[in-house]
Amino acid sequence: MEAGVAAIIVDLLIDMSRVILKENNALMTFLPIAVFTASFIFNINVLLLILLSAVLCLIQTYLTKKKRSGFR
Amino acid sequence: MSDPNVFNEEKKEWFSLNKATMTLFLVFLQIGTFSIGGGYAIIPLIHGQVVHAYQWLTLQEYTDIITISQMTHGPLVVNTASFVGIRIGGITGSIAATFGSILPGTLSSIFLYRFFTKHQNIDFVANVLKGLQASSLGLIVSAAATIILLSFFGVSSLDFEQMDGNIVAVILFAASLFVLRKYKINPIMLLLITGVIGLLLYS
Repeated sequence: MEAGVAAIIVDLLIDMSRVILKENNALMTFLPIAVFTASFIFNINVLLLILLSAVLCLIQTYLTKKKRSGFR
Repeated sequence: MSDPNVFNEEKKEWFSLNKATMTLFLVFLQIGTFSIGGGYAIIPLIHGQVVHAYQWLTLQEYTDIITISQMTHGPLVVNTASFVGIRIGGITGSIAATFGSILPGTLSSIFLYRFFTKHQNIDFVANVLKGLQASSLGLIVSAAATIILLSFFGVSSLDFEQMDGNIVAVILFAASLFVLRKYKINPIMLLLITGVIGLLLYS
């Protein structure tokens, strides 16, 4: 039954990856890989990873906005 | 007159029971607070607290709960909270853990609904949500990797010396994934089928 559960999760992962890749945003593509490596391989605290991801997104939005306003 | 030692023992027991209930509430409140990205994203978070930090469950028991929660009603966190709660602190512990796990989600949903209806056009908010979804994907991959390793090799981390390959699990996984992707079979039906096959093969 564990194999069935694993298959259901992988099925969900495939669907989620498609949605995220559709964004065509470098940070959104980088985040899942970085979070997986940090969580699974380096055992870094999950709460820290979530907070760090939110901060990175805020910085990206700020830089994008700054860049856009600079071109005007 | 009653024996003071008996009274002290009862008092100690009452305090330790309340301490356990309070700890359960606080741990699941923390889990509920950071359970962003749906049920699967919090698998490693619950794993970290319940299996590693407090050692309330073994990894095998935790994997069993994930499997059971797929077959029963309700979200994973509620099932895990109820299961761990009843095991550590009885009915009171179960209620405390479940209440702790759902409280942050309920409160933040009410708050976020109001916030989003007011600021739905703000780029910062929209981008952070997309980012959290992306990092959730990484967390779910991490949880899936743990379950796959446990199912295929009987270990929870990349410990090559301890690995003991299980070809039946690999075949069952591949077949399940194929059926899910190709025929969009109901996950509950799939779990029942893999459960029956597992029962026949392993018993």
